[in-house]
Amino acid sequence: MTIKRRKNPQILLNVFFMLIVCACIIPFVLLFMASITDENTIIKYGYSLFPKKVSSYAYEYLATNKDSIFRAYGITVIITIVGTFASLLIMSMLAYPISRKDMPFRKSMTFFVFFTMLMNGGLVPTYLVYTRLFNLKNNILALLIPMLLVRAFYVLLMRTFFATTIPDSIIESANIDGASEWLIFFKIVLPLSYPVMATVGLFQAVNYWNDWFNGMIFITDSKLYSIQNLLNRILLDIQFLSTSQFSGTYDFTSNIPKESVRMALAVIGVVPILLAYPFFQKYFVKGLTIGAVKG
Amino acid sequence: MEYVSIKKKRNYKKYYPLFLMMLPGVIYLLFNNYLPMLGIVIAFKDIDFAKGILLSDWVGFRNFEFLFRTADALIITRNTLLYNGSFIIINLVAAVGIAILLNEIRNNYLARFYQSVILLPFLISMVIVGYLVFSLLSMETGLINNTILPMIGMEGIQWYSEPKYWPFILTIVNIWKNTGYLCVVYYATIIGIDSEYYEAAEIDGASKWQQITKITIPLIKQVIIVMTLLQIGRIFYADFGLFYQVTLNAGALQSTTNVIDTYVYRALMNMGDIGMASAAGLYQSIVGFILVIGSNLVVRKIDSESALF
Amino acid sequence: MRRRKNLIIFSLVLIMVLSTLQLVGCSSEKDADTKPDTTDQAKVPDQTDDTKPDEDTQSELEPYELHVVLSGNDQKDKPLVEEKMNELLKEKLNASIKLTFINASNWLQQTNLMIAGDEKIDLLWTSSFYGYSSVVARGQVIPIDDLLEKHGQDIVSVLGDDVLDACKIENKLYAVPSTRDMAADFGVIMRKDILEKHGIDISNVKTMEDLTPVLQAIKEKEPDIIPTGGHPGSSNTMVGLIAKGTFDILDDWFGVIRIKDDDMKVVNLYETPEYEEWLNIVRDWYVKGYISKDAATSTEGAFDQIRADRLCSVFYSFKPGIERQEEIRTGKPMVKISMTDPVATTSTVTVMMTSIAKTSRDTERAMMLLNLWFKDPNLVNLFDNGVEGVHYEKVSDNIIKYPDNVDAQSSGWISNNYTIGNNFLSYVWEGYDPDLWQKTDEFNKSAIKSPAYGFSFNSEPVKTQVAAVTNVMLEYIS
Repeated sequence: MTIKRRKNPQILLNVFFMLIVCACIIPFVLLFMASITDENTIIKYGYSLFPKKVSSYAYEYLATNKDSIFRAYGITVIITIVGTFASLLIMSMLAYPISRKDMPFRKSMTFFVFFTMLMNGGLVPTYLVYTRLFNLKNNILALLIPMLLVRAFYVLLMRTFFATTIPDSIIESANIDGASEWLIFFKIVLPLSYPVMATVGLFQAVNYWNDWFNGMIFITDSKLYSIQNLLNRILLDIQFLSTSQFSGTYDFTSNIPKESVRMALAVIGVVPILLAYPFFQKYFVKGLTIGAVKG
Repeated sequence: MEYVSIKKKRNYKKYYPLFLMMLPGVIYLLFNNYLPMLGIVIAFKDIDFAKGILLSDWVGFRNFEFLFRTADALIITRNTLLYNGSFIIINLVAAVGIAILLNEIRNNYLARFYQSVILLPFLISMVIVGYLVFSLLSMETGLINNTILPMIGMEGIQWYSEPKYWPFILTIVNIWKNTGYLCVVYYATIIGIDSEYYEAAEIDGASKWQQITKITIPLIKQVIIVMTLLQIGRIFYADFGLFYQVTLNAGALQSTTNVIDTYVYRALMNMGDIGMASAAGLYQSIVGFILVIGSNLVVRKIDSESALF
Repeated sequence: MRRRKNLIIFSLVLIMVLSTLQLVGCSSEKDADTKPDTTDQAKVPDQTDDTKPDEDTQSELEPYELHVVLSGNDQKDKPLVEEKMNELLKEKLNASIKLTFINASNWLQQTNLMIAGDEKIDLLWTSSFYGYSSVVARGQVIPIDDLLEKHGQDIVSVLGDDVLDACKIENKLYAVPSTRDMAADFGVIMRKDILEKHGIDISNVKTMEDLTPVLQAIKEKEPDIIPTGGHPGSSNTMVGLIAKGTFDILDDWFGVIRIKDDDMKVVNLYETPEYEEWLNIVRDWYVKGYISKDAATSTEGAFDQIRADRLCSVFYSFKPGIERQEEIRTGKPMVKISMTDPVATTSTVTVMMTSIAKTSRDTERAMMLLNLWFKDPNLVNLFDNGVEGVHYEKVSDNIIKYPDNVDAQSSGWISNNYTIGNNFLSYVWEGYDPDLWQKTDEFNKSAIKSPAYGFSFNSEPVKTQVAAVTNVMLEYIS
């Protein structure tokens, strides 16, 4: 770390980061290659970055299920978009008041939020609340609502950001000018908070995109599966059955797709977020820089 | 602080809009998080559905016994704490280090590119990571045994039956997967630091190292503390995906890879006892809770402004 | 000081809010929890008085939707099959049906949650694999002796008292098995073409030891093909499978008895000389390269590996028609080498059963449906094979095949002819022995019964110990 103080640290730095980049990207390439490798070639020669024989079998196999895959995509995309914006709103509205140093009950409210990270009632009570109280079994909202505030930590992250980056003086002067708290929040605080909103927004989007647990718990109707449910149902079954003691002739593994198909499923689960990510990233970085300029 | 709050004490009305603003979140947390907490009674009951959950018999701490009345109790506790402890430290150092270095990259396009790529592993699920690791480490078909080890003239290693390698493999996988996330959080904070500080320091002739230790780190300290406290709170929860999916649940590796979560999962896999599952969850919550309150107290002693609450 | 006061006020408010919520939560839960019980109690006495024949009561039945929860994957054409089933059930039971499939890894969790949430389940698939006695001990299913007596006479006549007795727990019946293969023999299933190509004789192979020269020959003649392996789809390891032909594993392998030993002495399988001997043989094969080095962690199915010319044989459990079943999967001619007698244990019977869940709103109707599943070939075929003309077409009276343009992969209804009901009523797929079901019946009857036949292990009183032992077992056997 100290070397970079000397001449040309930039080159060294860039080499260092290029190595990191390789480490991060190569596994994805391997994943993609595995999905287009001929099934028998995987079994005979193993995985390779340069497969001996290429096959589109896995994708053709998936194409026979394209209806369910497209529907699952649609559900995932809608849930991810709506969920991310809804949770950003609800979280920032919770975080902003507790970031205000003059807010009464500030510490207690912070603790109220923080406590949810440490303690949870467990699966069964949560399930009962959603199915008995709100009747959300086999309802698409069950994929959305349980994730809204899935990490109370994001609220604290926002709180810290609001508290440290939004100058008190701006809020005070707006107050004196007679602006309502809502106006201050939406017109002053949020526009100044792109960095944290972009950061949390990205993480929330990833959480929504990758969530399979709620689908597993609340959804038994395959028409409402998200893409991750589709993927994880298969992968988890494999894991489960490989440790289970099922009698051989009742062979539940017969429906499990082959390795290249599993890889292809993984690819179609990952690719959209990889494609969307650069666009998101553009705003993400812009947000960060705006934050930097305003200090 | 005391002075401010006394001054504004009687003027709660002014804060009504702010309370209103919090309302959706508060109601949500009450229903989503606090209401289910009443369900911890399940941990102390022998659930009989014929009687219903609330009317089932109380069994005291019997549901907790399976966590402690086994020779593995020590091993799983040790593994969980050691892994998570080292993950916290290593990830912290790596993420802060990379974030600071990233901030030094002058070419904006490259910086943006690196930042994007570092986060990629965070985007995929552990199940898929498990497959990637298998494609590298498989005895017969893996990239390492087939390509890399022969190149340096080494014999293939039976990775999935040699527990001794796994502390390192899992640490590397964990860094690969999670450092990007922490790094972006720190980077976002660093980039938010007012550049005037650095300009002033440069004028005063401060070296880069001094700038990092005297400006950057103190200014991101609070975020570091929040992130670390948070991870300490979860030190008793192991990343199930990492320890179950990535090891492909190989029995031979259990001496170094069995953690509380995998132990509970395996123990209850064929039994499905919700009382015991709740007991395990409660035990983890309480230990995490105590650890966080404890570390927060320590932080408050040292620097009260950085404490979480 | 101030902070503390705030905290107190806050906690008070919180406690108040929570306790109101708790009241709401509790009372609604209690209502729903007790409701089905009281209705059950109210119904049972006044219907036992009822001596009218079935047909009359059926005409008076209120419309009712029967929820059937089964293990398996959700199917694309479920609505179509449900619709056809409804036509049938409307007429017979004035009821409609809703099928829910839950996949294996999620089964326990999801059914636990559904019953905890008091969701209506009338017929619930139950298996010794997920702990039949635990399901009973947790009160998730109800005793069905009386209901069976009243509405399930076809079930009794199809299965016979002997089989039903095997499913009883403390003299009460909680589930009935499906008719299918209720016994198994174990051994290795091999590629016939490879054996024939190299003139390898298997007629004298009766034990694992006898198999060694066969594997050696395959290894020499076909160096690219791994001679044998286990199936990663289960922890029925190679040795485990052979052990099941000699020992009754009493549901969970923790303590076993010898099937041919009437003493019923429970021993630790892993300390028996037989087990040691088998392990030594397999170890020897491993060292000699007859088994894949990735055997312990591979997730690629053995039959996929056979299809890919990577593997020659696999240890497996057998039933009539098994060779044909695996020929379809592997695309290679297969031959089985049985190394044990067919044996019947409690778990070969109780691995596929149907019970009536505690959350059923009309237990009588549930039993009527189950009875119909043992009596009505149309219902059985709808479930096992799908809709005629869509999912299958008839070749002859009881032989069926896929229609043109449909195959196992594109069919919208892939089901199993062993999950529920009297599968002996279902059509046989082309290529199988037309007498498949008679042969299966004979197979079941010829099997050697374990002396512990009828015993189900109840793990509830020792669940702490079971949890610990499970972990130890998975460390070494998986």
